[in-house]
Amino acid sequence: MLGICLLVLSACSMYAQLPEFKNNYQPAQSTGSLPEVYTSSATEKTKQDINRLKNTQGVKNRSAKETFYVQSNFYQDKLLRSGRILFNDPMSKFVNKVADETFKSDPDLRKQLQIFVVKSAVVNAYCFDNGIILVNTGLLSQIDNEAQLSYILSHEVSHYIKKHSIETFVEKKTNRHYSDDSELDEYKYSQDNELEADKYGLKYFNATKYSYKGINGAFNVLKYSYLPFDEIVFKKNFFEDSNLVFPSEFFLKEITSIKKDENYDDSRSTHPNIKKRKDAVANELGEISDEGRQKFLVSQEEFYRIREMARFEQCRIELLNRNYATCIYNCYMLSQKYPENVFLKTTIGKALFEIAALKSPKKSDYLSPLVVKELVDDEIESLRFDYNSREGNIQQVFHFLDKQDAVQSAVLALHYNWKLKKDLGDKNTTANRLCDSLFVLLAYNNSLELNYFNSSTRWQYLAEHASSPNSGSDTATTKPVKKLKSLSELDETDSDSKTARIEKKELPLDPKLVKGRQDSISRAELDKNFEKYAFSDYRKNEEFKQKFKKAADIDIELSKNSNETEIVNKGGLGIEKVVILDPFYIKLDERFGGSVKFFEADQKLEKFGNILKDNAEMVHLEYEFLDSRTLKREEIERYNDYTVLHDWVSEFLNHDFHPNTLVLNNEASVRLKDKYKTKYLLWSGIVNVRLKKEMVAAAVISTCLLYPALFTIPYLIRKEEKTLYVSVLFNLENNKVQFYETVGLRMSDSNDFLNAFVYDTMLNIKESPKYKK
Amino acid sequence: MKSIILLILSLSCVALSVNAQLVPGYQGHKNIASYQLNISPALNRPTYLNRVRTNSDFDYPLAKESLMPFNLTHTFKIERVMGRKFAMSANYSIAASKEYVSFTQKLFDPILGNDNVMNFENVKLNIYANYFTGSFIFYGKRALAPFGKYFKIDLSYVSLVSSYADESLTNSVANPNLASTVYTFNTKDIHYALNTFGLGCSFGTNRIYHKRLVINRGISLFLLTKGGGYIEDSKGMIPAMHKRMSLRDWTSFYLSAGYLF
Repeated sequence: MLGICLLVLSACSMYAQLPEFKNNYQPAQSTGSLPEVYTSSATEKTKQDINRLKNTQGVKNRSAKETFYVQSNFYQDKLLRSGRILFNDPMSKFVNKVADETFKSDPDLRKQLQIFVVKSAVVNAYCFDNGIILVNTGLLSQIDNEAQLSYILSHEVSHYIKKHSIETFVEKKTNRHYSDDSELDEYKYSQDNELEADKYGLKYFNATKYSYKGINGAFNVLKYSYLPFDEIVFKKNFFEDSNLVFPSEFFLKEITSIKKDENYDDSRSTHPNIKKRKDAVANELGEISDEGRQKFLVSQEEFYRIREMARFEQCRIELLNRNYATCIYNCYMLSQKYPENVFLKTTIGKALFEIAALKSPKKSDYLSPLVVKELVDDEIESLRFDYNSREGNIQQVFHFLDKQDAVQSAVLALHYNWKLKKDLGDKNTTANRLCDSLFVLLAYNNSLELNYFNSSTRWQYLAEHASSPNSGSDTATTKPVKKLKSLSELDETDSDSKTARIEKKELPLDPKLVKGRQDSISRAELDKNFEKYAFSDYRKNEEFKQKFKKAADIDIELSKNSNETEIVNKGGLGIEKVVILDPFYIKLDERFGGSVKFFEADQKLEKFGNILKDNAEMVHLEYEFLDSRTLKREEIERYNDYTVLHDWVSEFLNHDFHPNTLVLNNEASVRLKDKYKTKYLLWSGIVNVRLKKEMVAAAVISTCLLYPALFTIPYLIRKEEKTLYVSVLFNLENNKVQFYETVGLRMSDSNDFLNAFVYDTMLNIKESPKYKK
Repeated sequence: MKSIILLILSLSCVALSVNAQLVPGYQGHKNIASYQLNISPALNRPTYLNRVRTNSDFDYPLAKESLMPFNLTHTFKIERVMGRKFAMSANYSIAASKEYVSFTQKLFDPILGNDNVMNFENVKLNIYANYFTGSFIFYGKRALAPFGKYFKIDLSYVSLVSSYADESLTNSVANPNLASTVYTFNTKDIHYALNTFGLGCSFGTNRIYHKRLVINRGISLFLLTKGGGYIEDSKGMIPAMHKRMSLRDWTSFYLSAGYLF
């Protein structure tokens, strides 16, 4: 009995709300000192690798291996400096502890490994040839226990031991064993490596005290990795209240069940199917006993804490990636556990806003807190809520969002964010700005007047029209959404595992949806115009009315202030200080299938950084140069600033460079203001392409005609190149592009070109309005 | 003439209005002093060095044949950046050419005691030109003065002077009654002058090396107007000189090196 009680208590502790996430979530940050991999350049690392190769006798396929080191080191460097890598944070620390436990039997091997966590939604872990293992937050959010993580690490290390990445690369380059269908052969080769890693990984896993259940669990995690981190019912009343009730047509009566087939066709996959992998590992294991083995060896409590962090990260990342439906569903699942969490609420608010903006009719730019981006058709297509391709409860969210038209989406977003604004108070700038922009969406983009919305409530309507109180089972009651203390309350399973929930039962639906209802004529009318009742309670609110009116008058304001739009990108900004963030330099060679010139780009990047600094100094513009390549080991704070600002720019750019995007990441602007005493961020870069020379034969022939040689000889001698210079100055306070300069020239990336335009950019930023672009 | 003055005035207005803004120059440097060499191929006419293209369409028995003869113009100029896309320059150029002319000249016959009209064929004429030019340089969309591609308009005051290459010309006439008479035409102090205007345009590119050295190259088109001083003299020297220089300057390629300060 005592054992059962302890088991129940233990289970409850797994699902219980973790106090640190109760009110808010602070995105994970790195601590300690920068790892060595950050302080050496990709060029140095590559040269070391190539020299080592040169000093080794009897190396086969030397050229292919050199190419591998170049590509691998530079790709790795790009990833390390992407601002998405975490180290010495709680997640990385925990993963490293599990690695310590896993490779206890081979300390030398453990010393060779460096394990980092990547802020990525993809459920994956991967290993580089030099022993760097990257584990995505997407994977951490889905696993159920340490044992699963331990097996995944064992698998990845096997790739490192067996040098799979370099061997695969060489194999592909040399096409040694390939038949007619080389693509299929590549998959086959990759699958063989995966199976080998699965089996070889057991060598390390067997030596641990982790439960063998972890292996099966890890495969199941992979099997359902295309689904969100959990699988719970999406309740219809989540966004509803007494005046906003969605028609039941917005919800599916039946959702597509999750495919449980493990023996799927894997002929075009880099990994074998799950059944093959499970069978191969089972054969390798033979008879085993799980006695004395445990799912957790480091700390169960810590595991659930870091998994929760990873899940919060998923919400943030999916929003950045513009996967709004997935983002909302992730937030929904967590908000069942943490109903007061501000991060979740604002993330949902932002996602709803983005959807509303996406669906709203296009109108010209205007001076508002936010300008709704004009979408091209392709983009609309890519952001459609294609619920048919989904499985499980997330399909309900996709369907719900897909069925709403532009007005309904905007109404839902404003309804949600207005409540949020009231809950969080006026100090929450995000909610405030979202609301201001949503008023514009409704009044300006959707051309609605306040009178469009009813001042009477749904209840009044029902009281007037209902023939009997039970004429329909209105799912919209004033009852508040029941807030769960733990995820276990949501279903009958006694496990915290998504896999268990999927495998043990049929997918449940919201009971109210299953029951359906007998619509009366009046209720059908009510459903048809459901959005008109959304603001019944707010219509009397003076602030609400004023904001709506102001948004409706934007047309008039625009015509009055038509000249003001010209302020954008005119230079002469009179700014004293900027933060120069992570300049980029890309060099391509079109002549050889668009290959990247890594070494040259690395060298040029350093020069470009100096050009930026020199020209800023020339115009007496103060600057902070925030580039991961120049950071010292102890500058972890600057690295964190770098990652936060990187995230900000990524979120901005994910909106296709629209100059008036609302970025949720307020932390970036706070950091800039507090630490660097500026609100301006300068992001610059160069793209240089060596072009194929055309009409060479004609030029050679023309040269023989003497006078044309004046043109043809220089043409034949000089390199044909195209260079693009980009500089963008962001104002993080108002989320606007304050200034940008882009120039594309058919010439080399010479110093005079760069100096001329970088100087101009700096002067535009620094000088008074007399200097204009 | 009026139209040229109007053009100069309107371009100057543009320059002044542009100058109201702050100008970046190249890292703050806005002036260039440079030397420019214009090269134009001598297609059918002789160069100042008396070279003519091999297999030329015209026959110049006194000229030397050459594979690729060129005419050269030397220019010294000062350029000032006035705006982000605009600059002005003052140029002084010198050029020379050669032409072969045929004419008749009345010469006194001391034996007969009267004038005799003599024919002179393929007489070498040296032509010297001075150009005083003001240029308006408009930099392209993807350029930033003084860097990048530009379109330039040149307005020139041109002074042309020609003289005979030889100090005296001789001709003889066989007299049936007397021995042959040699006639000498003393040309030492004879000059023909024409002051006129020219209108040109150029397309070129400025590159800057080591932050100071400006290398400029391009193609130039130039039209010499007849101007007010144009007269049809009895020998047709001035029209010949005008025609020669017009043809010479019509198209040229140029290369210049300058110092940015």
